[in-house]
Amino acid sequence: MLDAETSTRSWASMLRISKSQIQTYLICPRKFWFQYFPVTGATPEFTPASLPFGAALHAAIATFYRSVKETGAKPGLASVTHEFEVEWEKEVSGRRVSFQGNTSIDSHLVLGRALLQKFYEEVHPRNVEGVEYPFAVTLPNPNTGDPLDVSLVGVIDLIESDDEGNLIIAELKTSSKRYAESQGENQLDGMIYVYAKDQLGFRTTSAETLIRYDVLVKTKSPAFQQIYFNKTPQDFGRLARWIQEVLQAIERESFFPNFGWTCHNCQFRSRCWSM
Amino acid sequence: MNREILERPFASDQIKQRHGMNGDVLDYIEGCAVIQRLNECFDAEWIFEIQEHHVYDDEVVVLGKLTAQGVAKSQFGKSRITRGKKDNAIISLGDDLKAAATDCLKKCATLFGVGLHLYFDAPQIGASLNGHTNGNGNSPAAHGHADAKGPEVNGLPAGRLTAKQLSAIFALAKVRGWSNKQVRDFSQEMFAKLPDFLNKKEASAVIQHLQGGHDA
Repeated sequence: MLDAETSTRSWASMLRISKSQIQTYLICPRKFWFQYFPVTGATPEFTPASLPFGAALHAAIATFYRSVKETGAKPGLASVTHEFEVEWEKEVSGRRVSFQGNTSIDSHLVLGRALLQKFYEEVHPRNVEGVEYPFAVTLPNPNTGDPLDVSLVGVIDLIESDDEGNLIIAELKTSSKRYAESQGENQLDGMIYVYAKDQLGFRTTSAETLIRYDVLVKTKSPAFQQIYFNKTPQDFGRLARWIQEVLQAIERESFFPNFGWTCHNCQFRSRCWSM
Repeated sequence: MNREILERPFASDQIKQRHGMNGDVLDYIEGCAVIQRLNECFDAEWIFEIQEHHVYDDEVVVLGKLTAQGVAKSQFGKSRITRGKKDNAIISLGDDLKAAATDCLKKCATLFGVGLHLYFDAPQIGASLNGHTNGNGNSPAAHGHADAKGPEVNGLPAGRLTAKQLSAIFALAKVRGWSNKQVRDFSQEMFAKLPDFLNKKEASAVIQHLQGGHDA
């Protein structure tokens, strides 16, 4: 049903902005500058543990869904957990990983296993159509409707379909606390994925597109949360204006710092705070 | 008035099915079968009048009155405006109004008891949803095709609700100001399942409940 519309390799030839870049800019424009402008010469001072941990969980869950896609059934939990352990080791080796509080490589291993078990017990996939599905779509100028020069690129974690072939997008999140309703409603990535899906010609109904967030909650007692939101073409207008304004700010080289709670775990903190 | 003839269930070959806007599977009776039933009962001595009609952006709505043996029943009927795929232009408002009139006739006839059994055959959510009865008289009966005893798919019975149904549940819930948690709690309370794991029939019942305006 889904043909690969693009590949991450083909992105190299386009003028593009990714979901992660937009998100980084929205968190802190100066962090965006350090991270994406080599001219700054800034290198990350450390890697917050949450990044490799999230990457390892993503890899394990992608393996899980690929197996479902190939065989039509869940693989064994042990193979999913093993994938996580291998990826976690790869992700942390040779990097200066910063762990918060009493956490460590080993405590993350335990947490990862527990989260995957929770995920495994509670998830019942439909037909898996795409896993880590890359897309590149045009963005409209919100005022004129004409396409902007910049393509929007990203990777959708999971695309499932029901027995009638209607698609559902799912996005995996790892979070230190449960997702609040407003958090899911206004998530940039959800809006972007639904917009991309719409551009690729798919909607859940004639007017709305459903997105599901699968949230692995890293609380003391690990939890798995699934929340759903519908997006409409009105949301796409809002998204286009949002992205265009970010692009305009980047063009104006507006890279001001956003001092706040995110500084605590920022990889460029020392450099930034010494400016 | 011969209620026995009016309310006599239609034969299975007269009951058609279509997909509703919310992904439900809906049973319906064609207009000609309803006319046949009215003729049979009233010996063709019945009057149907369109009293008002309105053309909105996306649909046409008519108010009609069906009179027989001195008894009159009024109802609304509607039809979506059909537009060309290429230019989005209206194809024929006349045809849309005719469709709305047929819908209206069927709704009026339902008030006389014609096709009423479809509503009673629908999922009896009235029994479980705070005492509310199923169907509000304005829509065809919804039927799931799930067979809970069917084969399992990834640990769930076959016949799982469709993406459209799931989308409709959360869209309707949002209109009513329900959070995800409220939808989950409602689904758990009614069927001891999370919304994504309902079967089609159960999902139809939840959708009908959300459409019906009852509070959680």
